[in-house]
Amino acid sequence: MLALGAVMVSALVVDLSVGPLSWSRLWHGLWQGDPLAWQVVGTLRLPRVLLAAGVGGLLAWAGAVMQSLFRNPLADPGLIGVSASAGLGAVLLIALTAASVSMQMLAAFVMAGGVLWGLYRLGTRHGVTDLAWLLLAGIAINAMASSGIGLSLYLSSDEALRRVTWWLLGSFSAASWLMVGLVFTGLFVCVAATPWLTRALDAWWLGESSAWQVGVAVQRIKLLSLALVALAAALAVATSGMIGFVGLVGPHVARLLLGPGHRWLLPGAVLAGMSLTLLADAAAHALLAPGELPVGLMLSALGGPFFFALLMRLRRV
Amino acid sequence: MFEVREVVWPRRLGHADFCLRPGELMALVGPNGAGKSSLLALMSGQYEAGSGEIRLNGQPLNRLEPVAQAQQRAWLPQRVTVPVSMPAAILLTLGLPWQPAGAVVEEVVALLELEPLLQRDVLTLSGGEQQRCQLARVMIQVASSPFQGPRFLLLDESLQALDIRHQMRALQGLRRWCRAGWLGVLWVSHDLGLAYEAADRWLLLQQGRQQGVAPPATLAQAIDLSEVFGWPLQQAECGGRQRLWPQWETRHD
Repeated sequence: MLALGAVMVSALVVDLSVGPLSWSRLWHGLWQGDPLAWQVVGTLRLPRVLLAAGVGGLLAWAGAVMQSLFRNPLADPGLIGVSASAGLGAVLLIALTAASVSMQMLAAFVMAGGVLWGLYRLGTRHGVTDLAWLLLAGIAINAMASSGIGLSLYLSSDEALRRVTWWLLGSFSAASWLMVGLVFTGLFVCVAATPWLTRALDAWWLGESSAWQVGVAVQRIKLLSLALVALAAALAVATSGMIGFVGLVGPHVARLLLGPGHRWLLPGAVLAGMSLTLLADAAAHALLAPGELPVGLMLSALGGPFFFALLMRLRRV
Repeated sequence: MFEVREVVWPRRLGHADFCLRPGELMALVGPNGAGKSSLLALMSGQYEAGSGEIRLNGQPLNRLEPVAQAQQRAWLPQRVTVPVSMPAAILLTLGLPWQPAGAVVEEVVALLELEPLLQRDVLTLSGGEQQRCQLARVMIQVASSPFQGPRFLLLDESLQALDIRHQMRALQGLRRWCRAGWLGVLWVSHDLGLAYEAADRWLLLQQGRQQGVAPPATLAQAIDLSEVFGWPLQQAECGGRQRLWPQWETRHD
């Protein structure tokens, strides 16, 4: 856990240091009170870096909860279609109007919330939510949302197309302090709710019936987890676009290092997710400097081999 | 007292009305699809029947908070699996809302001889070993519960995968606990011979309906068990005890 924390902090420093202004000039300038260095950090780099960390933490937390709730190591926050619907909301708005970034965020949010609410209502009968049904419905929602996104791409102008594509690939370059505030509020809510979920999700490894059997109020836990996952996924998509992979790999890294108990797994996943996005963001800036790659691409490129290495190590044990 | 009163669950359980008493080991028997698991699921409180009432130690089951239920009854459904790796020692107390006393855990570990498995990853255990760990888990739950009154254990074919040594050790351990007066066990079994000898009473279900609840010898006199189970069953004295077993030489049709 301490090691994960240390990795996360160093990733934060590394990501902060990467950019057109070289790292030695930057840290030296900060030390000497150079206004240029302070401005670069305060308005450009710090919001970006914090957004990257916050989104990584949110997605990995949500992924860990989803994997436990669905008792499936392949689950991720996008499983029940919330991310894709948030994406559709934002893309529709970009393609059809010249709306501002905050409107775009709002659209993503409303869409995700609406879809989750609908799914929950449809999937709940006699006060019991059928998770298997939700999973299948999520596949349908994902398919519909992707076709919707495809259609809006087809209909959008050249300029909108560029924006949409950039956004679909996932990027922290549009970061603002407003986004940082929103994302960290969400992360705070998720982390604050963690103590209510730990025992329940531990018991959930045994299946829903056995969790009930040891005294978990299963319906309450399903509602709470799904609502928080939707909040996390919607916030991540609304601020940074479609960032894949963190939600899948972050929890795995945490589980391999810290075991299946949620008391450590959930905070561990947050730190792992933060480290992953920060490193990916740093790499995205360093590789093509002074340009930058979409961080979503970077994440899959970096996370894939890393995950493979973990799997190989696991097989040797 | 675990009372099931006039319970009907449409399409799953036609009718059940009986009372599981602390101190008794009751076998729930009946052909496949007779509603045995449905009955246990109802008694676990996870589902609600269409009509009737279930009372646990005098309180309506559906009014008890989940944790209060967990303190008074434990339920081991048929197939419980864990999707991630963890040491068996963690599994034994996984998700329990209270910290079980070390002495209780040690007693159950010794009874089921789990010591050599404790540090192993549950995913590498054999089916029977996993079943033994799961059984230990619910036994620890009832034995370590902070609730002082009678507690009940609902076992759904939980001994089926165990080897004979551990089946017998588990049954005798459960019986000892029952005799101490604080535990009542409802145990689904297809091993009629063993259930005949070990159980104080049988609850016989057929096609969703309760056919009778009585000591097995009494029940066997009142009801044609061969008819119910669709296979000739032999009943005779052997080694000074009444026994029941399926006949080997028979005519199929």
